[in-house]
Amino acid sequence: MLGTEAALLEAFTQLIQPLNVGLLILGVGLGIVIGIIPGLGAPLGIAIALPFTFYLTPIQAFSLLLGIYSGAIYGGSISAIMLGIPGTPPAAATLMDGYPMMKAGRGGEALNLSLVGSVIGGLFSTVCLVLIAPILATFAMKFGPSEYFSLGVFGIMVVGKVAGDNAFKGFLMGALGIFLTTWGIDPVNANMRFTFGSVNLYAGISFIPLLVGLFAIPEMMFKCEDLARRALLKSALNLKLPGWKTFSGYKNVLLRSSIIGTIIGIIPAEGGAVGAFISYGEAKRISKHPERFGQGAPEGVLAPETANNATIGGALIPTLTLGVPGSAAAAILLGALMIHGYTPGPRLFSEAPELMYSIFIGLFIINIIMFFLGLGAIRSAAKIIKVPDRIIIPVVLLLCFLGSYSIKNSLFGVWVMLWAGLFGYLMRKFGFPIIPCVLGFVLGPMIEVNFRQALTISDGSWLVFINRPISLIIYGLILLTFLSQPLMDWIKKARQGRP
Amino acid sequence: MQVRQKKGTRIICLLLLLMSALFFYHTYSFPKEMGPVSSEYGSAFFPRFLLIFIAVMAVILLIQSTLRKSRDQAEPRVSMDRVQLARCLGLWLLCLGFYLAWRRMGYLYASPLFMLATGWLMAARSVLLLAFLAGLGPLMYLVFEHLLKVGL
Repeated sequence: MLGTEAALLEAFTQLIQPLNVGLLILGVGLGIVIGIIPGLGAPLGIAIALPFTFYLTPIQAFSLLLGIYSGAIYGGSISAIMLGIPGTPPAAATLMDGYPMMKAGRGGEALNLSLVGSVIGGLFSTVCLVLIAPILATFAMKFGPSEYFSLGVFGIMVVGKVAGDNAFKGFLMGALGIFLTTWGIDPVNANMRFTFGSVNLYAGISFIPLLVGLFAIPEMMFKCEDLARRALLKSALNLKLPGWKTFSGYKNVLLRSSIIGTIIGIIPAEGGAVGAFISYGEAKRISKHPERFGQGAPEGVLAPETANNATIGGALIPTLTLGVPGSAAAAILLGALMIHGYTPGPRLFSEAPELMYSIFIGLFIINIIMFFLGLGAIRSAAKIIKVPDRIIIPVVLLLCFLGSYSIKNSLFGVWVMLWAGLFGYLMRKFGFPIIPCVLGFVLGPMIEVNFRQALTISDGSWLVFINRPISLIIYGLILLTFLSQPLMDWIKKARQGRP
Repeated sequence: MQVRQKKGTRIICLLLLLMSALFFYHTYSFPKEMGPVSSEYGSAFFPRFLLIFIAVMAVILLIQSTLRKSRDQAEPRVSMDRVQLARCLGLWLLCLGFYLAWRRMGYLYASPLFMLATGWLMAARSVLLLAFLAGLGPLMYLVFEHLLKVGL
């Protein structure tokens, strides 16, 4: 285990290796392309790239994955502005003013605002990550089995509640995800469970084939349903970039949106889309000319874009310190940590400080790379957008097959991916959210092991789950999550009833 | 072809209830406890707890979808025309076919066929494009075999 200075030096030395710099650039570049293509997004991009990180060191792997994460969140804005189709859900708010700007011949200005906003939002949230994460991790070191169990339950319950329209569907999917982790060898007693005599199931279901199946296959099937949907860009592009003076008038928008994005990112499962819409709403509420919003207001592009990239650093705060992901992409990154042999949670800071510092430094570098690659992407975006689905679908499917196979050099992974894909498609079709299932699969072992450890320590007494103050606070937070909406409605009604 | 989301939810919930019951029954076949944890909270306890939870959630969703009739009119319909459905299921069946062909013929021969078939299903008719797609499979074979040292 390395000391702080040694870990920092180790992280920096590894990050500036040519291969690592190349991976950072590759990650951001791939992310931007993935973001630009409507229908693909950061979670899908990370899921597809994850199997290939097996051949990389953890620092190299996270350089690539974080690059994809940041690049994809930014890239979505390009197609939102140029096509009026958000490349990713977080870019949906950008569309409202970005596309009108494009139609008015101010596409270059909108794209430039989106790029600078994304970079500033990303850098701001990285600073917050560096400042807040170690403090939170130190506090979380006081956690025992009971606290870890309640934290796992908190993650599933909160994500289950907010991930879809119906909380029960979310809880059910979360429980299904945890249930799938009980297949294979029991982590406490080493008994076989649900192996059905198959050697392939002794080690349980692999994360990557399941993840690729749940995300990528349904996405391709949905794309396949609607091949003719995408109208290709026909209008001429005016990509003249405005000067830096343009941004001086938007300092407040940038700061406010960065703060909103970071805070929203910290809240589990509240991803970039929520941050972007709240930030857009705030920018409109505070603006002297709210009537311009929706007609091509520059703040209407800057605010959501700054916020959705600011959610990245925010989302990584609970992901790295508590093992509770702040977004769908962060949930997959959590799985990536486990695949590379790390246990997500506060001990990461003491067990792998060099990885933590490399993530911090890497995010700074990623945002700088994103600025320069973004400038290039703006110019070549029109070509990327035109890549038809008849090329994207076969290529993505082939990568999914190869990724699922290469985990264990076994076709069993492909088999799991195929059925997970059909399951994911049907569930999504009927409104069952997938994210709680993925999170359940990630947090399942932590929940079960700590649940059973806590009961062993307490000699079978269930009081162990409620007689610890931190656990009680976490249960209080769960309760608050469930009561907050009815409480807000009640307050609203009470106010309206007042004369 | 249109299916009400509630009808789909009901079918899924019934299937999950059936699954929960079968898996619950299966937990009785787990070996006897050997480890440090008392048998009360042994290997079968946690899966059973989850299966009961899943079953309860499925029952709640079933009740929800049955009772809320007034909202039923506003319930979104999950619709697809026959071509969409055929294309969509065809894609999954093609993937299944690729898996089976990979097992039987090996990746190198199966992948160009899969890429060609998928391209064709996606309405790609240009010979150049189909050739590009078919060539990607063997290209990836070279990358995995020689660069990543993954035997395909």
